[in-house]
Parts: sequence; C-alpha cells; structure tokens
Amino acid sequence: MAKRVTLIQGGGVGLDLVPAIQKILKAADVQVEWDEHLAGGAAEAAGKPALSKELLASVRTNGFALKTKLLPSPRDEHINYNIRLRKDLGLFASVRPLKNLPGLKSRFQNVDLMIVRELTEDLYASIEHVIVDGVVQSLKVVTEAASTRFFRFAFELTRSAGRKMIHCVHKANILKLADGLVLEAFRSVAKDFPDIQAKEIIVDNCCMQMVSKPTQFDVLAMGNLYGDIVSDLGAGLIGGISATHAINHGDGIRIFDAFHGGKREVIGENRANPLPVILPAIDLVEALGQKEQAARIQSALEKVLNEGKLRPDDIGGHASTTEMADAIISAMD
Amino acid sequence: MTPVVMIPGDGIGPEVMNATCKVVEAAGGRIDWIEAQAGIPAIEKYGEPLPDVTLDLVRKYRVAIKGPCTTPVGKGFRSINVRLRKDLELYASVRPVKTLPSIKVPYTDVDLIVVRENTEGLYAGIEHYVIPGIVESLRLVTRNAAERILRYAFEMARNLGRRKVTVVHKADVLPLSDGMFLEAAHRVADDYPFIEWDDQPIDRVALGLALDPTRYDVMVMENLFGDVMSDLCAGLVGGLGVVPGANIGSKYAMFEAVHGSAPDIAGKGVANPIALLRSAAMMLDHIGQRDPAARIESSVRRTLERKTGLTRDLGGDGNTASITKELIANLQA
Repeated sequence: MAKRVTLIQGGGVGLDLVPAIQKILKAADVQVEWDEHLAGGAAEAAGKPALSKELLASVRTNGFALKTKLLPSPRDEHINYNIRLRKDLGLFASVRPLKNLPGLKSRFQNVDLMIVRELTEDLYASIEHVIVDGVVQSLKVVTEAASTRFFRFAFELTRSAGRKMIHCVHKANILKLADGLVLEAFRSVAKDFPDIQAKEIIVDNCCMQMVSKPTQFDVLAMGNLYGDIVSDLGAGLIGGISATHAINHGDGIRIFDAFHGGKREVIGENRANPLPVILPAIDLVEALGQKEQAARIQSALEKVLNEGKLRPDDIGGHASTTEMADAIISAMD
Repeated sequence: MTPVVMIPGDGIGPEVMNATCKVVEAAGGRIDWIEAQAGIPAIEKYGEPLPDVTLDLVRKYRVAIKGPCTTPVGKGFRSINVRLRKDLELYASVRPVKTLPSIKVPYTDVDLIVVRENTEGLYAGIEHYVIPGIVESLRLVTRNAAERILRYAFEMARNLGRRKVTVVHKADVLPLSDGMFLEAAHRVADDYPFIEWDDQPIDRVALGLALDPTRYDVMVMENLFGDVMSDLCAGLVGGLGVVPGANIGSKYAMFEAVHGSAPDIAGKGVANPIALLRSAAMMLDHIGQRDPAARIESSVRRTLERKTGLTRDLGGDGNTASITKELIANLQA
C-alpha cells in the first residue's frame, strides 16, 4: 500500500530537488503517494496563501511530510515561513542527525550523534519591546510543561535509536531560574529512563568539546537558541550544511526537512546539490517502514560519493542535480 | 615599576600565578605586584569571595591580573567574575585565539579575536517566575552599550592592523534588540571606512568556524553569544589551558586565565601556567611594556615547539617548575 505523504514545495532550488528525489524514490521502489503543496514565499508570489489550510490539513492527516526550504515573503524578507510553519503545526522538537558521509571532506571522522532542539520556547518566542528609546528587552520564556514534554521526547528518541547517553546542554550557572527549570525537568524525566546515561554540560563547554572531540557525544538535547547554534556547529564538523537534515516533530507529525543554501537565481537551474533532500528522504522512507528501500538508496548514495567521479558544484564537482540523481539510480543494486 | 594588583585565586591559582610572576620578571617586566585575595582564601580571611578591600585595590591601581577563583555554589554568593565585570564596568571581554605549535588539533592557521560585550544580555540576571512552572528571563540590549562594544572592536581592529570585523547577531529572531545592535554596527563602521566588515547570524558563524576558522578575524557580539563563541574558539587551538583573556573597561582592566581552579590537581605542582602567563603578556602590552610582552609570547611558542619540560595536559611529563624553567630559558634566544 502506498503511503500518502505531504510534499511541501518551497520553490527556488526546491523546484530542482523535488523531481530529483521523486525519481530516486521511484527507482528504489518506494511506495508513496505524494500530496504536493507549494508553500512559503513562492506560494505568496504566485498569489496563493503562504501556508494554506489545505497544506496544514494535509500534513495533519498524513502525519508525514517531506519539505524543501520555504522562501521568505516577497513583501518582507524578515518573514520566515519555516518558523511560522513550525508554529502553525505545533512542532516542538527538531532532530538533527550528524554522521560523516563517505567521500565528503571534513575535519572530523566517526562523528555519530543526534542533536535534539526544543522548538517552541526560549528567545524564539520573539517577545520584544522597546522600554525607552535605545533600550530593548527580549524575553526568554521557559515552561516546565514544554521542557518536560521535550525531554520525554528526547529520552524516548534516544532509547528507540538504540543510543545510550544523553547530555542536557544548558547555562544554568547564569540563568539560574530559566535553565534551572530546564535542568530540573531533564533530571525528573531521566528517572524514568534508568537505561540511559543522563549527563549535563554547560553550553560554552559543549561548543568547545564539539570542536575538540565530537565523538564523545551521543545525543545532545537543549533549548531553542543553543540548539540553533550547536546544530549548525555540528554540521560544520562533518563537512557543511548540505551533509545534514532535520526531522521536526509535532503531535503525530513528522516533517523531514531539507536544508540547502544558495538561491536558484544565483546557482542556476538544475545545479543544486541533491544531498540535502536525499538525506531526509532516506529517513522518511525508513519511517514509513520501507527499510529495504531506504537501505538501497543509502548504499547507492554512498557508492556515488565514494567513487567521487560525480560531485555537485558546492562540494568541488560539476554535476547537475539530474546527473547526480541519475548516477544514484544507476548505482542501485 | 608599575603597580599591578595580583589576585592568585584558589585551586591551582597560586601555583600558576607564582610561575607567571617569575617569567614576567625574567622577561624584563617592571611590575610592582600588589597581592589581593578573591575566592576561597578571601572567604577564609574576610568571609566573602570578593571583599571590598580587593575591589578597592583594583580601583586604586587600575590594572589587575587574576587566577581562577571559585564562587561557592548555593551559598548565596554571586559569581565573582560577573561581579568584577559589573562593579568595575569591564564592558569588553577580549579573547585572542591563535594556533600554537605542537598542540594537536584539527585546525591550523587560526588567528582571530573574540570581543564580547560583558555587561548586558541575559547576564543581567533578571529572571522571575510568572506563575509556577513558567520562567521569564530578560535579555537587555541598550544602544549605548552596543555602540561602546562595537567601537571598542573597530578601534582594536585598527590598532592591531587586523583586516576585518564580523558583527555577530540573531536579528532574524530578535529584530528589535539585535536589529538595534546591527544599526549601531552600521553607524560605528561608518567611522572606520578603511576596515572591512560584515554581519552574520550566530548559527552561521558557528558553522563557518567549524568548517574554516581562517575566514574570521575580529568578531564582536553580545554577552551570551560571546561566551559561547569564545570557548568554541578556544577549542579550535587546544582549549582553555592555553588561551589568554582580558576584561577591559574605560577605567580598569583585568587580565585572567579563563580555565577553572582544578582543585583535583591543586598543590601538586603540576598545573600549566601558559594561559595565565599569556594573559600577563596581554597585561604588559596594555600598560605599554611591549618588549617583555612580545618576549613572553615568543617564549611560549618556542617552549611548545621544543616540547621539553611540558606539563601533562600539554602532552609532556614535566610539571609547573619544569615548564617555568623552560619558559624562562626560552626568553633568551
């Protein structure tokens, strides 16, 4: 039975990435029925709502979505629809798997960790006001309810991924109340998971350890801002943002999110590196229970990267999006 | 002879301070050390970790060097370091980070300086429970403090002949506070048309540093970002045991190693004095004793290159006495 999955088309580079990944999944015999929706700034530019009711309903019904990056509003580049979508769907945790890809140059090898980031609170509530001219305060909001839900999710994820250790990343030495509350929630949830080693680390030390010895970590769980910083730092350790992806979780919802830089107008049509969408797609296929197909795509991808004959522009080659997709398809067993 | 307040601190503090003073004198530093207490010895003598008598001495002599000091946790004492910065209005934290010889790290040719605003942000310690289970912490940003730290960074870049300043922020999530910080950056940069500058969000900086830290030169940012980035950068060159630090205001300046007091090895004579010694070199530079400052810096590099007498954390089998001997011997070359 083909499973219905919402495909959130963000436009721009996504216009090249989506056909490429659809082709790859089809070749791997993945049973999926796409429910495609144009969203974000690209939808707005086409005179449609950026985040339509149909799109939100589709994600809620299907429970699974594959998404390319949403462009900012054509009215105001500060309107970030990726963040709005998270809010509209109540997504509360973002998971960033970090693992070296074969053939991809990086500073560190044998990195294999997961960063779990809280998505609803912290400074990202963007509650700010001007007290008097020249004095601004922003609120960092932390609640016990969100922290507890988040850490329960992180511990369950750690267990189901067969991982053994989780670090809570915090700054409770300075933010005694806010991060103190986070730590309390972490410690109390940890009691229900005696099989998982629960540790704590201050965010500045965590960043220092990440650039010194990232292999010491297994799962790192943290608030929104620290998560934003540490996830991208982690991406840098394994070769860059195009080697990473995220899975954003809400109640009964999982969005497999592709990160990609570059504007299509700048890098050109059919020039984007398809890795950013292949990685979340593999995780999606696995989550759909089609493990064999996921493994086929993974090994074909590794074969192409290992051979190194074909590489996209951003990692030192000249292959187009289609050429990369075709190479991966021909490398399938 | 220039009087400088010398605060040995606790743990390994007195040992590394003793070593530092010896090397400074051997390098031709003309310093009249005025000893003062903070941390555990101050609690024993005065009943509090940062007594007024110490603060008064710093106010009198303007310049101080400080070893690691422990603030007892849970006894109602505020952090010694946070209080020093606040009471003495040491608004700029300066952390030069440069690749050192013989220290095994995956990064080479790092040469950057992190300038951190020290008085605002989330470190104001303004937090409260809205209702049980919900905490708000205030992140305060003022235009005056923003302009002051930015001007400090640009002025420093000019004086040191650095090529570029990167202003680090999170203005997409915090448009009012970090928006104001960015506006201030534009105004200040306008006064330095001969210095190249750009601005980058904190997550992109984390990624960029992990990928290729040689892209960065002087970086300036608010308190929490600066805290995290200065330790991250220390990790790029070998950690807190080798990087110096300074906290500078318009009236006073405090130079310090940023590592902890390492009570586990205190009193054993095995501590590494390099971080504090390099902070002393920054201090000598600050008071115009350029020649001994430069001699100390080259002696540190030579000592690491020759690998004789190094302490265990640096991969040697020596102790504080042996590395001090080497550091003094290598001043003459």
